Amino acid sequence: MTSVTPPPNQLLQMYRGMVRIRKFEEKVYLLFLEGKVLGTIHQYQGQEAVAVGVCGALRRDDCLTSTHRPHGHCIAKGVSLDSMMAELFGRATGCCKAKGGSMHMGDISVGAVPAIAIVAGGVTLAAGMGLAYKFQHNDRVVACFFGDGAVNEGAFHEGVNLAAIKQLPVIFVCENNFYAASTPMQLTTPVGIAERAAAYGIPGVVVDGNDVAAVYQATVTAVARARRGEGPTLIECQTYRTVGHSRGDPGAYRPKEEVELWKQKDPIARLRRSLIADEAATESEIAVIEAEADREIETAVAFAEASPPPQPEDALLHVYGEQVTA
Amino acid sequence: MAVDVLIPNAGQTSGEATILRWLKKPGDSVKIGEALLEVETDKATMEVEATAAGVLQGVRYETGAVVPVLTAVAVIVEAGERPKPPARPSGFPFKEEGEALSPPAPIRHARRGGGAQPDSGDLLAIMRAHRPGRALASPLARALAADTGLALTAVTGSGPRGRIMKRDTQSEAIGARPSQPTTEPGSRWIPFSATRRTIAERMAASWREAPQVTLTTEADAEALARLRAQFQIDLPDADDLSYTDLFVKIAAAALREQPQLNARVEDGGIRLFDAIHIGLAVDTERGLVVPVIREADRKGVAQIARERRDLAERARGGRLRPDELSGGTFTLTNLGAFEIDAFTPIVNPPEGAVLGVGRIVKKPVVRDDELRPGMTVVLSLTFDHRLVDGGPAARFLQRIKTLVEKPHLLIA
Amino acid sequence: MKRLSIAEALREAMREEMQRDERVFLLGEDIGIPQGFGGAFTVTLGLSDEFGHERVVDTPISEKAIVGAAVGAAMMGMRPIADVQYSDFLFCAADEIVNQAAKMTYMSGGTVKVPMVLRAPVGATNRGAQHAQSPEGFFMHVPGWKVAVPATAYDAKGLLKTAVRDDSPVLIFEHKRLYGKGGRKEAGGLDLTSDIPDEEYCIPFGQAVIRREGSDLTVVATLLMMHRSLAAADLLAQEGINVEVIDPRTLVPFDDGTVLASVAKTGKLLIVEEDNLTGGWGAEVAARVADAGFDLLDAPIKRLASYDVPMPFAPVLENFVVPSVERIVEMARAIVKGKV
Repeated sequence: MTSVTPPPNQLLQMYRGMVRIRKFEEKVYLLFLEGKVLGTIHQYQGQEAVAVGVCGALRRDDCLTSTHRPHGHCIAKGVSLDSMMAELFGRATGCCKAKGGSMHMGDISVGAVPAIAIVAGGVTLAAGMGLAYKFQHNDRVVACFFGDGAVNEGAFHEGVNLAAIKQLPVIFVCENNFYAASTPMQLTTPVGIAERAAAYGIPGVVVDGNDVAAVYQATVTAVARARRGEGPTLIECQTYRTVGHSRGDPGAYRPKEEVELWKQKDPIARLRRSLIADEAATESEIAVIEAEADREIETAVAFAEASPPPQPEDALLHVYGEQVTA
Repeated sequence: MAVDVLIPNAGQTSGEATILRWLKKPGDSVKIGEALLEVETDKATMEVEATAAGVLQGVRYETGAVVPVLTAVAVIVEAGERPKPPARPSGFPFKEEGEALSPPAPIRHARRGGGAQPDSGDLLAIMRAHRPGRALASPLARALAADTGLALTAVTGSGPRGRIMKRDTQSEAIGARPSQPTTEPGSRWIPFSATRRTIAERMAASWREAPQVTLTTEADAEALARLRAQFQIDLPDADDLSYTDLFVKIAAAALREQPQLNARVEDGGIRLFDAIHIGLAVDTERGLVVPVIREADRKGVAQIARERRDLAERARGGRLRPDELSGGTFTLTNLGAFEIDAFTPIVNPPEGAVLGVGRIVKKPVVRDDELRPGMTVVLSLTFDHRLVDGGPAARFLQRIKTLVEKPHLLIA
Repeated sequence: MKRLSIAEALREAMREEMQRDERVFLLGEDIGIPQGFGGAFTVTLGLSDEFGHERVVDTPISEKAIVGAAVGAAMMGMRPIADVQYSDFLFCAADEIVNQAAKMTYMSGGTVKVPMVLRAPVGATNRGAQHAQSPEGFFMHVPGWKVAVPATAYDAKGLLKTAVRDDSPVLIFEHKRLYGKGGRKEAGGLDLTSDIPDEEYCIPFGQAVIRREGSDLTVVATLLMMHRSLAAADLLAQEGINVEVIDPRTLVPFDDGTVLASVAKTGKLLIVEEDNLTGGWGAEVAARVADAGFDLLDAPIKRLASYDVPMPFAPVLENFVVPSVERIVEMARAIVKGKV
């Protein structure tokens, strides 16, 4: 397995990618408190390196499936912030025309399949997508994101098993943040996640999910394997969400020391430090990136606020495939 | 506010118009008075103008379509407004404005059962074709009508498409039943029974519809009394041969001679009946019931007596069949048993006349210029003055009187 | 023109669609194994010889993966025909059916379509409760799925072809006792065949067929119950009672119009279904006719369905539960004579 360290300018792009996610989520949190973002949100702060690292190794025509915590994946894959913000505001210009909401974000035109909020629900779908690519003789791959809780769902087993036996081009990415809602892994999972890959005869690797370069490298390897037709890989990215499971969750079930420890390992701070230390970027370049991200998000908020809500009767549209305009 | 674009009713006799061409298309802005489409009627070609300003949407009929007048062929909405989607049968994909559905291309249809959803008017048309005469009424209305003897054909429905509903079976025209009768001290209120209600409605209807006149005459009943006595001796099982039986025979004979009274007013004309069926008013516990003796002119008094006895008994027991209570062409009512002489019977609708018979009573009479004891009976004939005038009615009554006084004429 | 059974007609439909469109493939258990069964009821027999094992994909026993993979592949432009061996097993993949396949088009705001077909056999065949259900009612209820119920070989071929070409997910419920020859032999099975034209044809969804005309009573029935209703109608005709039998052919979309026009004629409706009475598809149809056909009815709408019990094994019990020709005759007679 060759080690592929991303070159400095690529790392800077990854830094930018993580900052966009962080600032988007922080803004969304504030808007949620103001009542402008509706429903519920499951936020991604702390896990940015996984989304950015994985998507950095994907082509635009590769796809990903996501979960109830999809904002980071969507942003990293290239879904427009305008359309995401508008979706959260429940406007007709949202990426799902206000039909999906936070938990079903996506835009298939950039390869982000609208997210599946059923835990492990995307695993069998990803296997099917890989099956389609095999039939179509293209070398596209699917990155399938799911959390630590998902590995105990029947669908996980069936989907990974099918992908393994049929050698489907899927990269199964487990974002292990050690808690499934409030339940810690040690209460539910007798065998580690990456170890389970052996049960399917596929490679399983553990990476530091807060090291964007490490995530990237592991993904590059898995993608190459998949494109060669050798089948799926299971990548366990160990990370941590620095916020609650969803809005309104103070996370009292996690020891404070643990939370503090992981905050020290924040992926964005880490990368900033190493970029500066390696002189791959200056403070002012970092500042520009951050300011650009802020502006982009302000624009997205303005776009969302100016967008019209959908017509009530639009609720009757798009039940059947005949109405799919794409 | 969406405004329908209607094919105007310009006095076409055919009641429909053909769309020749649309002058505007969906999405176009239109001003009041602007021509939207050209239609052809059996009278002329004309333009249909916009009655509101806005944006044309929801065009439902294309060039060549033939539509009834007052059909909404499109709608004008305010700029920025969207028209309400028309109701669709569930399961069908909603068709977005301007977007064509692309169902999979069927190459050949299998035997079709009918396909698209017919509207309610079409369904009622199908129903009437197969089940003519069926009234449109809710199950509850039917039950209430049956309970009170109300004929649904007499009721106008106030529900959708003319459906008769519960509230229509209780309208004032029919005889309102107050849901909360007022209490009056020193009295009590009882609702109408089914029979009472029927009688009330029929009597009121008769009174309302037919201008009625009653003629009376007094006849010498001696010959009739002697005839009856003779029958009672010479006919077996005739001990209870009644005057009523004889009057039935007499009335039937008179009707055979003067058929204009064996008739009724109907649909702006007069319906004359070939057969003579005489209804007999029978007093029962539940109320007045009128069983019918069919073809009374062709039956002998003995048979009439037997039928009368049977019908009266079953009438009191509530065991008459519907066909025995209907079809009468003339009614006879005898109140002689109650010492009534003259009275003004009400015509039994829809018949044309009714004969009331009073008591047969001993009275002083003048015969050959001498005062003698005799027997008389008062006959009261009420007739529908729309049907006949006083003259013919009087002649009819006079003939009855003659037959009463000279019953031997019955076999002449 | 040739005569085919339902199993053969389904097989021919799949063969034609696979020849016509390279995006069509099959997946399921035991469907392509060499020297194997051709699926639980032989419908796919021979197709893997013709199209290879890449296009006739044998899966592990993983209903969630079968349905989920069909959804995923369909989202990426393929046209999978997935099958489960018994409709009872659809519930193993309930999440994939209800939450993924049915909702993806809608949740995506109309940007992702799921043009998949899912086939499942229904009906009681003395195999016991978990291999016997007729669950059409459950799936009629899920917005997003179309549901077909072909009862003849002609309809099976035409409806399956339409299903493959439809851009929405389509469930096809086949009856185990109607597969006929070339299918698996079932006790009490009907040996049905139809004339199948040589030219290609598709049958649009939402078009019922009047199998038998009559003016005394409208009977709406699907699958095996439709055939029993026809048999009952023959018996009733001898008593002078003429029954109109309508086969809806698809439950979603449902041809309300044909049923209503028939009820306008007869004034009386009897629905005969093999699924359980409570919440069965018949309840939905009854509610619709009671609403749109309120003024047309001379008698209450009656439904004959399996009693609300899981399906028992022993024939005497199963035959009691599932509506028989005798039960249909009795109910029809009672309705027509005004006894209900």
